[in-house]
Amino acid sequence: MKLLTRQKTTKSLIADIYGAIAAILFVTSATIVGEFASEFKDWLKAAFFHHWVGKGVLAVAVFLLVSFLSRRALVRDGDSEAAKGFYYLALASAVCGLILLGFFAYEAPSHL
Amino acid sequence: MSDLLKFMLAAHVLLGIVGIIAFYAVWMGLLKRRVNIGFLKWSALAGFSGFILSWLSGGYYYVDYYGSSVKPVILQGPYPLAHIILTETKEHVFLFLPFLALVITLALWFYGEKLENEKFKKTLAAVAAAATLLGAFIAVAGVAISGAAR
Amino acid sequence: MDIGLIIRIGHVVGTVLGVGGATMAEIFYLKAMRDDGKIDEKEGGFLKVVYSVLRWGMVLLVLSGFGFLILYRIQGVEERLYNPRLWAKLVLTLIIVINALLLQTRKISFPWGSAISLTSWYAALVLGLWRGLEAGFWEIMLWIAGITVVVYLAQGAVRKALRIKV
Repeated sequence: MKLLTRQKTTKSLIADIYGAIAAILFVTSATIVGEFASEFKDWLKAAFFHHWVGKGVLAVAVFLLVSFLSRRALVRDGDSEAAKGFYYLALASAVCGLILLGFFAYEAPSHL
Repeated sequence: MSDLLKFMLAAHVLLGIVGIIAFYAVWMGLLKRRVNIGFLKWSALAGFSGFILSWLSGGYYYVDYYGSSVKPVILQGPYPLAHIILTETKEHVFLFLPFLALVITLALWFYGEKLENEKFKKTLAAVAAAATLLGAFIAVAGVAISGAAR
Repeated sequence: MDIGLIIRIGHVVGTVLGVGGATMAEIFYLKAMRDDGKIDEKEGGFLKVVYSVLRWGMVLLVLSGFGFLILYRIQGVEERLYNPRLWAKLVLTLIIVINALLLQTRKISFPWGSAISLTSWYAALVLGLWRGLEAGFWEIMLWIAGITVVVYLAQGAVRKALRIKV
């Protein structure tokens, strides 16, 4: 009798990777939007005591939501899919980090 | 600065450095031909814990003290760009780190056997690299910001 | 409890372990290669221990180094955080860790990696001791770059004299 071994599913991990990417994209866009739309920053301050605390709390919420929804909706599985996810996560964090640095450097003269 | 704030500042810096060192160790460890999964797991967990605690202690210092007492000094001083560019970037990029750290820690603790797959290992190393390099940028920015508070 | 003294002790011990480790790694490597042109299991074991000591030295150095920076901030001597010597040491620390990665992934040749490692460690040691140094950041870095090239050439001459092929 041939014994069949099941490969461990990576759906949960991939879902968490998507959640992390979404959280990073949220922080980046919320930061830039907040600099142009003071009402958003004011709302964050009113709701969460400080705009930065608000962004942190909402980033966690975005991570949990996207991770949860991805678990239910994901069809793809496997080591290669997880590897692709890691690649996009590393890329997203690097690109978003540079975007934020570039954004604040670009906006700096108007604050001096 | 009260003793509590001094403690929070010190904790923020040192725990952040622990996080950076831990993820550098994970990065290096994943680049080896033969990985030591036990070492990687515990390094990642130490790094994740370091970043979370650094987030909380730094957050307290930032919300309670920096905005009202340090930011105005920097803006009025000879290096206002330290706040305008570095603090603004640092405080938001810092929010990336717990998520990067969590993914790495989960991957190593629950999917360690997948490291036999070269692509999986290499791309996870890339995430560890991102966590290390972003952390290093944040640490160095912190030095420049503190130096401008005079 | 003098926190400054504790940090200083940690920093010195870290430097000793790091500089000592980098030096012994070079010496053990040369000896191993001179004997029979390769690193056997026993020699590899020695080197592994030396590299481990070097790494722990670096960890202690970085933690105590940032301990100093925190102390400067808390004591109100923030201007020290813009000292060119301090920034040179910070950059040297980054160079050492990036160099280690490049050596690990074989993206840098051993002769260059070794020269960069040794020079960086000793430069950090000297900068830490040279309190009255009056030089800008770029001046310091240019000197270190120049010395690295000299060390590279000197190491090459030593290997040639000892008939060691790397």
